[in-house]
Amino acid sequence: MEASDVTLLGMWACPYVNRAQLALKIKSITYEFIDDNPHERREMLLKYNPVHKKIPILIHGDKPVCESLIIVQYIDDAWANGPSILPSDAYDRALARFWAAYIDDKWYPLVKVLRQTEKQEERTSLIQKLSEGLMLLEEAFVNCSKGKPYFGGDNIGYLDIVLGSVLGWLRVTEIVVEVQLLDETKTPGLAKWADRFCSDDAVKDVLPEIDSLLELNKKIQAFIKAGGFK
Amino acid sequence: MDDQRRLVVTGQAVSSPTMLFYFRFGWSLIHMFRSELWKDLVEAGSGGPTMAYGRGGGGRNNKGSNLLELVYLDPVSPYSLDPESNPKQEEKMLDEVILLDAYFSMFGMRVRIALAEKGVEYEYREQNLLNKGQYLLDMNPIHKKIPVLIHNGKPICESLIIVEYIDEVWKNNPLLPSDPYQRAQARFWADFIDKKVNDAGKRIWYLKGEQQQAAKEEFIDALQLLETELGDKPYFGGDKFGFVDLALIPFYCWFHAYETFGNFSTEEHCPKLIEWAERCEKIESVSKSLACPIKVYEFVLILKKKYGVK
Repeated sequence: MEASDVTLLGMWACPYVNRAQLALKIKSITYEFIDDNPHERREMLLKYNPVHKKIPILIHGDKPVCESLIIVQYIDDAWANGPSILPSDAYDRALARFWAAYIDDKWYPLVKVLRQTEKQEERTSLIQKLSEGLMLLEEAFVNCSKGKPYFGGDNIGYLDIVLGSVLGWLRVTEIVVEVQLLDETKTPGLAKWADRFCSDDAVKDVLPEIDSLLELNKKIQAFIKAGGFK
Repeated sequence: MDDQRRLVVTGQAVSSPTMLFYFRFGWSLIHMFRSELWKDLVEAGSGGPTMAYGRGGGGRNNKGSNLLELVYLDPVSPYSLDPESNPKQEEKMLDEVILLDAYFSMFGMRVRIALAEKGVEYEYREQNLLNKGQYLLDMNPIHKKIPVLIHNGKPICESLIIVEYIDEVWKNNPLLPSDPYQRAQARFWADFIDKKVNDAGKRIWYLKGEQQQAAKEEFIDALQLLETELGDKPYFGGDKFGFVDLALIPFYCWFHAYETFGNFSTEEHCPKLIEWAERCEKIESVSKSLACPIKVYEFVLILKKKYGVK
């Protein structure tokens, strides 16, 4: 399925943008990717997302859709003939949305804080919270996958996209902080799922390489140390 | 013999300022029951009459907006009935819908409105948030919060997720638009309300001085943005009350508390939004579900005392 009136305003290393890219890939939608440096493309941001001024922004026929989770659901709704992203059962959909909200509101924000803090006490506490969260996500994986390879079942679905998109920055954080968070001995289902997800051809095409993210992280850290945005 | 095994008592309830209800009872047995059931109910410990009171579903068997139904639950779930002793078990089980909620919660109100809009019969269970019951903790172990909708034993948490679920299961009177772009817009504004209105509102009564002033400004900015989004439409949903209206209207019964503690007037800053709110209040599902603003104010006074906020 092709569409020439689809634009994605984003940034290659942003996991929220990667979510939109994964969803578009699953539906085989062609689109123009405007790799955005927020400080250079400010006019587009202000025009298409005046409320939050953030990426990603999906522009479909000049109509903008903002917020990554909303964009993924929109892609699923608007291109209903392609493979389904959200589960077909209403209860499974509610579960998938619940865990997506948990990941975005409670769990993933801690990953960034951990990567940027240098205080040992804070690091220990964050590692503890992240590990507990991963145990919950392991249980979620068992419940949602029902013995199949992905949260979505046989194929990559909504929750695979939501959690899978942040695996890169999770790995970067593990390297920088020198800690193993995703541990096969503690969360075997999730660890195997992560390998499976990252080996998928569609995913490999979209998600950035860990080395590139590490490089970028070094630059970001240096920028913050130098005083950040004035 | 009916396998519903529920005894529903209807009575008239009048609420007093301190939330004590008294009943004038008119016993009306709605279902036939076996003599063992009556014995179970009389002897039942935890399943006794203190467990639940509830509003009936909106619309269908509504005998008047003041009615409260006391539901005595058979401690044995219908699903564990022995098929041999009850030949009707093969028939389709009626939906069992339970809402764990708290009167003052705007998030709970969203679910109450949604259920009423769909005419869903359900059992309302008021939760004590200062001393959370085991059932709530079992049904929402991650966040330990209300509202929780339990549909045929399966819990759904987070108010907007619950509302979408209700919209998908009970397809009459849709709350979300059918057009994908309009749906995305509705979800966007509901998400905006959660991120901006709720947080700023809480900080108005919780904080003082400069921080309170900042919270007031953020709150008013958020409402003004919503007012612009509303435009000339009667509802955010267009001609019909919909998802965004439902997401926002419960906050209206908290405005009086915010305004009093923050010393400002929302009407002064967003007159069209207040008109919209008054329009929504005329809808039965909304007027039945919203808390009384004076009681909300009194509740916040209690919260402030509890948290040591002057």
